[in-house]
Amino acid sequence: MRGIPSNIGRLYFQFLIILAIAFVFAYTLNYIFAIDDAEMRIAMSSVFLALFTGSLMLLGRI
Amino acid sequence: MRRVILNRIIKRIVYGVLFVIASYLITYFGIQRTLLDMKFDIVFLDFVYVLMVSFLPEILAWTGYGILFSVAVLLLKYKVFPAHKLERHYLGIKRGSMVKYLFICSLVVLLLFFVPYFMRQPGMTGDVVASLDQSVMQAGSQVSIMSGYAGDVISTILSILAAIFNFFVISPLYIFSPVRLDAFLCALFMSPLFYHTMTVSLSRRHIKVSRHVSKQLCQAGDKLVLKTSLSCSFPAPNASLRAAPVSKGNRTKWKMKSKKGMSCTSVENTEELALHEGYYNFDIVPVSIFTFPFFHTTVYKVCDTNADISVIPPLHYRTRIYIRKPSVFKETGSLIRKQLGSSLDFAGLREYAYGDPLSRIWWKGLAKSGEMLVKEFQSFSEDRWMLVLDLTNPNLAADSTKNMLQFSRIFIELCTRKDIAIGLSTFSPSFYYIDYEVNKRSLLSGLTKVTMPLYEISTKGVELILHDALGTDLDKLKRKCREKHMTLSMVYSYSGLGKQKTFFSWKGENIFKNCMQQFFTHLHKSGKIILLTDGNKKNMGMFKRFKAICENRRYPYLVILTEPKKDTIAQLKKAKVKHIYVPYARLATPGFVMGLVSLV
Repeated sequence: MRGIPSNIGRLYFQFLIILAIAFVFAYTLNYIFAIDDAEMRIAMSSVFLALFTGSLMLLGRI
Repeated sequence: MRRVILNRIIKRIVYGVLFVIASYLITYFGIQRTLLDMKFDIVFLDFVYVLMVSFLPEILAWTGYGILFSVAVLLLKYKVFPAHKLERHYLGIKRGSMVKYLFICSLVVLLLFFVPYFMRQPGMTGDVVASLDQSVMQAGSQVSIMSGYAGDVISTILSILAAIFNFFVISPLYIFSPVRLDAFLCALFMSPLFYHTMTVSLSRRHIKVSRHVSKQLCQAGDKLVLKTSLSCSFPAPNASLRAAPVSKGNRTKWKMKSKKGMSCTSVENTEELALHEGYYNFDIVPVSIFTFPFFHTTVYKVCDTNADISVIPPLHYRTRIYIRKPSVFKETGSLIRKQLGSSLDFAGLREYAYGDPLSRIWWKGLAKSGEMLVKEFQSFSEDRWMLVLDLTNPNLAADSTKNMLQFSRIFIELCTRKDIAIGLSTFSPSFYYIDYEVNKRSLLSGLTKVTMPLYEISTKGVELILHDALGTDLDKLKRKCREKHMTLSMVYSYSGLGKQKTFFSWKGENIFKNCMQQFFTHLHKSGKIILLTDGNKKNMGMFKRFKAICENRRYPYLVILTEPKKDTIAQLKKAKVKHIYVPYARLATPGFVMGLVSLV
C-alpha cells in the first residue's frame, strides 16, 4: 500500500503535463479550424503538421 | 547475412505460390461449394460466413500476390544495398522506429483532416466539460439510489469521491472551454505522443545505469547476485518517468520493476542468478520507458561498471599427488619446473658474438682452449606458453569442445600457480587472441568467451546497429571492449541483443589458414606453442606450414591430435611435424597436462 499514493501522484503529474501540452495544441488548432478560407486552413494545418512531425522526429533523434 | 536473406526469399516464394495454388484449388475442386452448404442458423454469422467463403479465393490469391511482391522488394534490396546496410536493416535493434512515428503521425493527420468534416457544427469544449462534470456528480448519487442505499454512508462516500474526481480531473479541463470540441480532441490525441517523445529523448540522455556482479568468474552451479541500479536526473518529467530495466541474457530474461514507494528517479534491483557455462555480458542495459496512457519505448544504455560473468565448467581434480611412500606427497603444480629463486639457470654455451656482455664470456674455457665462448642463461620468468585451440571444424561435437576447454582450464590453473605467463588463442571464425598473461581470471574468462558461437555479422554492420541503439554511448562500449579483449560483434552476440540465430557455415581450412596468419602476426614474443586440434583435416599442408613458421622463428611447438584420421599420423610423421595423439578421454587429466609440460 505504501507505493500507491506516490504512484497516483506521479500519474497525476503526468496528466497535468499532458494537459499543458494539449493546451498549446488545442488553442493553435482552434485558431486553424476557425479560419474561413478553405485553402488558408489547409495551408496552416499542413504547416502545423510539419512542425509537429518535425519536432517528433528531432526529439526521437536526440 | 546474405544466406539469411536468401532463405527468407525462398521461404516467401514458397508461401506465396502455396497461397495462389490454394485459391485455384478452392475454386476448381468445388471446395467453395461444399463450404457454402454449411450453415450456422444465426443470421449475422451466416451473413459473415457466406461473405467470407465467397471471397475466399480472391483473398487467398491476393495474399499470395502480396507475398510475391514483397519478394520482389526483398530481391531489390538484396541487390542494391551493401552488406552492412542489409545487416542494419534485418538485425537492427531500433528497427522501424521512424516508421512507427510516421504511422502515428499519419493517424494524427487523418484525425486532423476528417474530424472537422464529421462534426459539422462542433460544440464548444466548455459545454461538454460541464455536462461531464454534472454527470459524474449525478453518477455518484445514481449508484446509491440503484442499490437502494440512498442517504446512506455509501452514497455520501460516493458523492465525495465524485467531487474529488471532478476537482482533480475535470476542473482542469475548463481551461479548454473557449476551444472548439474537434480541436480539443485532436490536441488530446497528440499531446501524450509529444510528451512521450519528450520524455524518451530527455531520459535517453540523462539515465545512468550501473551494474554490479558479485563474482566475475565462477563455476557452473554457483549462485550469483546481479545488482542493477538506475538513476535519472533531469528537470521536469523525471517525477513521472517509469523506467523498468529489462536484461535479456542469452538464455534467460529478467524483469525489473520500480520499488514501491520509491521515487522513480532511482531504481534498484538485485537478482539471484544460476547460470550455465558460458560468457555473459550485461554491459548493455535495455531500459523500457512507459508514460501515462499506453506508450512504451526501449532505450539502450551502457552501464558504467563492468558487468560480465564468465561461468566455467566445474572441475574436480586432485590437488595432491601421492607417491608410493605415503609420507611423501607433492602439490600438483610443483612438478612444473618453475620455482622461485631459479630465475637464472645455466642453459649452454655458444660462440661469442659482437655486443655480448663481457661478464658472460667463459674465461676458463678461453684460457684452456683459446675459443671465445659465451655462457647462456635461461630465465624461467621468460618461460611462456601459447595455447592454441583449433575450433575450425564445424562438426566438432559439444563433448569434444568441453574436453578441450577442461584441458585448457587445468593447464591455465597449473601454470598460473607458478606465475608462468600463458597466451591464449583460438582458431575459429571469430579469431581470439590474448597475449601472454599471468592473470588467471582474464585467461579463464577469455576461455569462456571463445566457446559460444557468434553471429556472422560484419564489423561495419555491428557498428551501425549499435550506433543506432546506443548513440553516444558507443564510445564507452568501445573502450570497454578494448579492455576486455573483445570485438563489438562479440558484445552484440553475448549481450543477447540480436536474434537467437546462428547462421554458421564455413570452410574449416580457410578459417584455419586465416587464423594462422593472424596468429603469427599477433605473436611478437617467443614462447612454447601448443596446438590442440582434432586433426580431422583433409589437407595436411596447414600443419606443415605451421611447422615451417615455428621452426623458422625458432619457437618450440607441439601438435596435439585428438581425433586424427587413419593416415593423418603417418603423413605428419613423414612431414616431421612434432605431434602426439591423445584421445579426448585422457586429455583433461592433470597427469597428462604435467607430462606435457615436461615434453615440450
